[in-house]
Formats: sequence, C-alpha cells, structure tokens
Amino acid sequence: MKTDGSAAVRAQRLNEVFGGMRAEYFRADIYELFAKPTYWPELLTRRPCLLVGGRGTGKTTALRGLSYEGLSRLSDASMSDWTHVGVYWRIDTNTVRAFRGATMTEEEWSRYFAHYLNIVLVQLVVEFLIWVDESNQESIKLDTVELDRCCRALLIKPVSGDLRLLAASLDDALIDFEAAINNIGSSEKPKVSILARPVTYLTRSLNADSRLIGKPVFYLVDEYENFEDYQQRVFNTLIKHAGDEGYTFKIGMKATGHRERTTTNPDEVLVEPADYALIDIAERLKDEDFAEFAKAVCTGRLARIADDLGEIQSMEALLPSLSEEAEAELLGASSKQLALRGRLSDAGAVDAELNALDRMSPLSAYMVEYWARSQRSDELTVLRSAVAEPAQWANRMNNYQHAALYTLRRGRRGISKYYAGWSTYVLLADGNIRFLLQLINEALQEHLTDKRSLNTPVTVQTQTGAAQAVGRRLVEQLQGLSAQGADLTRLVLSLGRVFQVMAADPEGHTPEVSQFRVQAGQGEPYDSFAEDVLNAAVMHLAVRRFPGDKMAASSGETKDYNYQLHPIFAPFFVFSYRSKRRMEISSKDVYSLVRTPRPAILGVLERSSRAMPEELPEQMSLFQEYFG
Amino acid sequence: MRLLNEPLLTTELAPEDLICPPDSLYLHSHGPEERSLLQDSWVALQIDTHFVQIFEAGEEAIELAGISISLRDRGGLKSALDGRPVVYIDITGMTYSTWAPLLQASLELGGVTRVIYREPLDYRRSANPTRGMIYDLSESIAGIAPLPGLANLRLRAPADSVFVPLLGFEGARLAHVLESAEPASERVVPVVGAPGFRPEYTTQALLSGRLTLEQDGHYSRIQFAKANCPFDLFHELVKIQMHFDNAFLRVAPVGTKPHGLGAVLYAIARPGRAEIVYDHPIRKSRRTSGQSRVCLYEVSQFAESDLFRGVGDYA
Repeated sequence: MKTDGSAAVRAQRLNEVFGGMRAEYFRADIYELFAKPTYWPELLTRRPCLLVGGRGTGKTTALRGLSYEGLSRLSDASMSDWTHVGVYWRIDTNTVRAFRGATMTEEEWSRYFAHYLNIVLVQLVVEFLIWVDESNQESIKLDTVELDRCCRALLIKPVSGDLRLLAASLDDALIDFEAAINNIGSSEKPKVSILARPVTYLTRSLNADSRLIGKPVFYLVDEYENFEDYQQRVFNTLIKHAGDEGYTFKIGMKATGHRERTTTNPDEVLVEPADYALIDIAERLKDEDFAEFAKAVCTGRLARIADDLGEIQSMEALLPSLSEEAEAELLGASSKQLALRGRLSDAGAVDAELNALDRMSPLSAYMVEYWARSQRSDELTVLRSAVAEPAQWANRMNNYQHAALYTLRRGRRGISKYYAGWSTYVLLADGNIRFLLQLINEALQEHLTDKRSLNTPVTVQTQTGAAQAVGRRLVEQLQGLSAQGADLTRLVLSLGRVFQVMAADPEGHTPEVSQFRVQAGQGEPYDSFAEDVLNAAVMHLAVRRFPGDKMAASSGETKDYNYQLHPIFAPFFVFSYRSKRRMEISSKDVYSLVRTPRPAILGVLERSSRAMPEELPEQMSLFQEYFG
Repeated sequence: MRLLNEPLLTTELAPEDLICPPDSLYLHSHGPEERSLLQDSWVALQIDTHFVQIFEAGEEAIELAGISISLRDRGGLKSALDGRPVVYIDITGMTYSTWAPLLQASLELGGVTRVIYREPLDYRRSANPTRGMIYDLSESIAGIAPLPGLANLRLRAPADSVFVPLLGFEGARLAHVLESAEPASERVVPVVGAPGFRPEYTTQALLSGRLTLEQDGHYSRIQFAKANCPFDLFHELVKIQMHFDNAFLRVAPVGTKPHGLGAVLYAIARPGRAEIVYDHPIRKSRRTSGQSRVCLYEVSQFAESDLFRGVGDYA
C-alpha cells in the first residue's frame, strides 16, 4: 500500500502537540506547551489552596507548573528569584489503601499514616535537593542542626548534612515501614513519628541557603480524593496547622472529592476562606475566561507546528461556525420549503400567501410545517398566522427554531445536526481543556487526511464528525473511570438515548429539554443508588450538576440539584448542548436506567408521550446490542 | 537468556487424576462457583489428606481450622501451615486477598507447596452488552487496593515504571486499572493468555479490551503467555522487565487466575521491583459453569530456581 510520507509526518506533528493530552504522563514538553490559567496568581500565595476540577480541566498541569521542575522550565529565572519551592506528589490509591483493614481502628491507622506522610513529605524535598545537586547549580546549603532534628523526629540516625546518606536512610526507613505494614496483623507494631514534626525541621534547615531563605515549600498534592476519609482528616490537620511553618499545600481534587472537613480533632474544621482558598476551575474558567484560556492554549500549540502544517489566522477562521439559518439550508430546508409550497398551493393558498412563503428564509418556512405538526393544525392556518402577526412569529422562531433543526433530517442517514464552530467547540468542552484539545485534534487529523492545510478552514461536516467521534470515545472510556465505571456507562447510554429521542421528537413538547432533576423518596435501594451513581457521574464529568431551587435552598430544605449530561456527549447522541429546560425523573428511574435499561428508557419516554424509534442514529450502531 | 530452557511446572490433569500424597494439607474455599466445591467422589480417592476449608472472616482475616488469623500476620499464617510435608492451596474458590498471603507464608516455610486451579467450562455472557462488557462476570469492583502482605509504599515516577495489564474478558476492569494507575502510555505492555483455555478465548479477551488497547497504541506492545500457566507468565514478566532496563513493574491481574498466580509469584520474588495493582472484583454467582481440567502448579519447586530467585543467569 502506498503511503504519503508528508501526510504521516503532519499527522504525527499534530499528535505531538494535541494528542498526548495527559499532564500525568510528565513529559518534558508539558512545560513547552504550558499556558497560565487566569487563577494562576492565586496559586502563588502562601495560603493553602484547594484546586477543584474534573479530569482534563488543567489541575495537574497547573500543579506541575508550580513544581521545581516546572519553575526551572517555564522561566529563565534563577532559584534566587523563585517565590517558592514546589514538590509534586500524586496520591496513588494502591499505596494509601495499604493503610486500612487488618481489623485495626481508624485511630490506630491514623498514627501509621501520619508517619508515612512524614517520610514522603521529607523525601519529596530531599529529591529536590538532590536535583539541585546534580544540576549545574550550587548545592543547597542546609542547616545541619535542623536537618539532624528532622532525622531524629523521623526515628532515623542523624546524617550530619550528608544528603545522599539522608536519601538512603529515608529509602531504608520506608522499606522497613513497608515490611511492618505488610505484617501489621502480627503483635509487633512499628514505631511512628509525630505528624508534621520532621517536615517543620526540614523546612527550617532550608533557611541556611540565601536562595531559599523565607521561601515556602509548596506541597503540590494531586488526586486528594484518593485518600480514605480518615486520611483526609489527617491531611486536613496538616493544612490547618501549616501556618507559619514554612510550607503550605496546593491540593488538586475532583468535584465531590473533599469528603472530610474536620481534622483529627473532630471539633476542628477546615473552613474556607480562613484556612484555605478554594479554586473551582469550572467556575473560574467559565464562558469568556475559558474561551480566552483555550484560545491561548490552542494557538500556542498550533504555532509550534506552523512550519509543517501552515499558519492559522485565528481559531474562529480555522473552525468556522454555522448560523441556524445556514445550518437549516445544509439540512435540506430549501427542498422542504419547495415541497411545502406545493402543499400550500394544493390547500388553496393565494398568490400573496405563497409569495409571503417565498420571502421567508428556509428555516422560517420550515417552522410553518413544524408548528403545524406541534399544534396539530394545518399548514395554511399557521402560515396565515405568521404573516398576520410577525412579532409573535419572531418570538416563536426564537423559542423553537433550534429545536426544529433536529427534526429536519429525522429518520435519515447522515448528519442530522451540525456541531461546528470554535465557540461551539468551546461550549461542548464546557471548561475542560482536555476535551477541547481532543475535539481540535480529531477535527484537524480528519482535515489533514483530506489533504488540506491549516490555512484552509475545517469544514462543518468534518467538525461535526470529529465531535461525534470524541463523544463516542468518551462514552467508551467511562467504564474505566471508576469502580462504578460500568454503571456510569449504562447511565450515560440510557440518558443519552432518552434525550436523543426527545430532541428528535420535540413537536408538541417543551423544546430543548436537556436537564433533569431526580426526585428521591423512593425508598431503598433506589435513593442511595441514585445518589452514589450521580455523585460518581459528577466527579467523572459524565454529568454536570447545578444548584436547584433557590427558594428551597434559602428556606433550609434539602438542596435539590439539576443535572445535565455533559455537553461533550451532545454530538454523539444528537441533542442540545445548551442548558435549557428540565424534566423530572425519580431515583427509581435512575436505578432502572442502569440496571434494566431497555424497559426503563421506554418508561421514561412513555411518560413524555414519546415512543422509541426502531432505528438508532448511525453513530450509535455499535451500541445496538445494548439498546436492543 | 535461558528462559526457553526453563521447565514449565504446570501439569494438566483430569479431576480424578489428581491424587495428593498422604499427610498433605489441602486448603480450599467455597467461592460463588460450582467448580470450587470439592466433589465427594474425588475427596474419597484421597488417602490421609487433611482437607481444611478456609472461611473469609471480614477485613483481611480468615478462619482456618477454627482459628481466626489475620492475612497480614505472616507468623500466624506460617504457624497454621507448619508441620505438613505438602501443602496444596486450591485457589479456584479463593479470592486473591486470601490465597496470595497463604502462598507467601507457605513458600517461606520451605516445604512443598503446590497450587491447584480448576478451569471453568464456560463463562457467562452479559444480558445488556456494550462494547467491552461482553461477559458479565463481576457484580462490581471493590476498588484498587494492595493484596495483604504485598503493599508497596515507595514513590515511583511513571517514567520509572512499566505497567503490565494481564488481559481477561472484562474490558471495564482493564480500563479502570489503566485509568487509576495513569502509566506513561509508551510504558504499557499488555499480556494476553495465548493459547487460551479454549482457542477462541484469546480473541475474546482482545475484543473485550479493544477500546482501551486502541488508546495510545497499547495493542502494538501486546505479549503472550499461556493462559493457564503462571510460569509462562513469569517468564514474560522477566523479559519485559529486562527490556525496560530493570524498571519497576506494576502488574494488574485482570485476566486469568493462573496469570494472577504468576503475577503474585513475581511480586514475591522481586520485592521492591514489582507490585500488584488489583481491583478486587466482587464475583457474581454462576459467573462460570462446569469444570474442565485441573491444573497443578509446582510453585515451591519453581521458587528454588535461579529464575525465581533472580540469581545466576537472571541476576
């Protein structure tokens, strides 16, 4: 088979800047591609920060940017000019869960976990010191007295300032501790250190170096949600008392990941803003802020490959959008207008009325037949009303034309709704930079396959296909996101099908129903199941959650939430990504949509007076067996 | 490398051909599957074999001959197993959390340890299949946690580790362990059972994991090991570790139990150089049906080899 070498090279170059999207892979070029988010200055303060966001929102990239590796790569500033020293630690579930079970109480485990934390937090800084030692810089001068106090506090022999000996002793201490934890069921228990004490001494020892004196150590702790509940309480104690000890914490976690607010003292609570600053990435990077940040990220990456792929004018020019009128044309509204004219003529429309129809845009003309179906009226009556009351017609267009688009190609193969345009892609990503990069990568890879360059705009067909492909891939990836992955997949597939059918059959119903609220009070196991699966869905960005009824919230009643499938799934299932109107389902419905999807989907649709069509949309055919 | 010359200490038997020597200790557990139950007719063939059923007793503890023992008390486990010339550990009905520490304790005692595994005849298919969820084998996943006695606390950078998922029929489990571990994409080396218990099982394992394997090109690095042989899997792990300059191996046994046994043997043999990443599935009853062959694994004999101990040609 012949291969086009240049096309392969271009695809590879594109993949280099857009394809490897996980900061966790810690490739050196994460720093080459780094763009500072708008909340960056808040991360540089001494206050502990909780950085909350789902996967792909940029938490890990931001935390890595604060690390010593990041600081050394992101700027030419010398260590003397640094504002802090950052050390990065990702919480590994497989490690921290060693500290549970064996019929021991949480109180007992807290002491062992505290000792483990001490060793790790000290090791992280020692790794930084060795990194400096091995670089072209002058080694860090340490206060050996404080360093020896650190050793004693950690129950290891003092090292008299010998960094390599300290590193080896820490390794040995952790190996011995690991052996003890693996045999914790025996009567012999290991000795432990007091939480934070060694860290304080170590931080003080850094003050002997003029480059670091007075500068805090930032512990950049990622995936905080992986801690057990009691471990969060232990770590909250560290956060609460970091104070003037010369170190602080910048903690990354997913939404709903901060389960515990107290410390090891149940009367002591971690309070925002007194004890920490909360940065909710989705809230901070809303709307224009995210669009600007995303543009900076994308144009920066594209600039790196301009030599191979061509220069772009702007993201808007590269990914042109489609007005609703233009979309209607693409979806065949003109031929519908022609057919309608024929029917109206047969129905007795006079020339003036037919001329009025001719003057309408194809979308407006289509609305005549759409509205007639919705109201179970006849098309001629609707046309006359549109002509007689133009203001009312304009209002109706405003409310319903978007919903009407989903019906233009109903039941036909091919694209039945377009998802195109830089601003649309930004809305689909909904504040998630990883989702956006996936959309861009998919669209541009397809664009290049058509032998085009970045000088030419990506067609709306290609953009839509890319959006569908990304949505499908993310549905497929749900199963791996958590221990409840299989349930999340079924929830999204079932809800997606419901919203897809409702979008394709909007006549006579509330348009653009894209949100849902869950009524509890169905008893067990339904209420607990629904709460757990929706919490997991929110955490893993399968579903968005909004505060519900403001009146209920202020009156002290239980806060209700509204939910919406993440907009990124909209192109795959073909429904609206906009947050518009809401339907009610019960916790029992949620349970059934996961456990017995086919009858549950039918049941929800029947309640809204809809039937399930036989055919699945083309892009969903791979899930044929699931939907039956 | 002498791997090709190393014996594979797996014997495949018809159930009635497994005869334990007198005074053996036979540890077994009744899991949710019928093949874990010992047939009376087979038990009647054994002479002077001490059958002890293991009961799982809550958080990381078992009841063995009426005594409650923590699975994280190596001394306690060794005391319970001591004094028998041959110890059989039938892992068919046991969870990994139970047989892994028992195996470790028995090997440390230095006597003869043999592991038994009874292959299923068939696996249960899903009533609501989606891509990657063809087989419906687990109720749910309890979540990733270390096996008792095999936790690793040492910090490792992704660039210093290699992730080795052992493929099975549950694509969701494969996706989950990869998502949780977040390995560097070019340092993922999946291993599939080939030949499988049945010829078509290899293909079905690949299909089940296809979505995940396609991500980041993991499929291009797939390696193979006989599905019912832990020693063949051990050999593969040796090769993988050597290929990556003795990097730390993170092995995720989400495939066959014999492969899981191979992974656990590797973690025991290479402390500080390998760890197990296990998701603790909660098994469905009747996830399999019937019983096929019995596999007998000479693990203590294997544990005396240079290959296991990492000495000689394997240093």
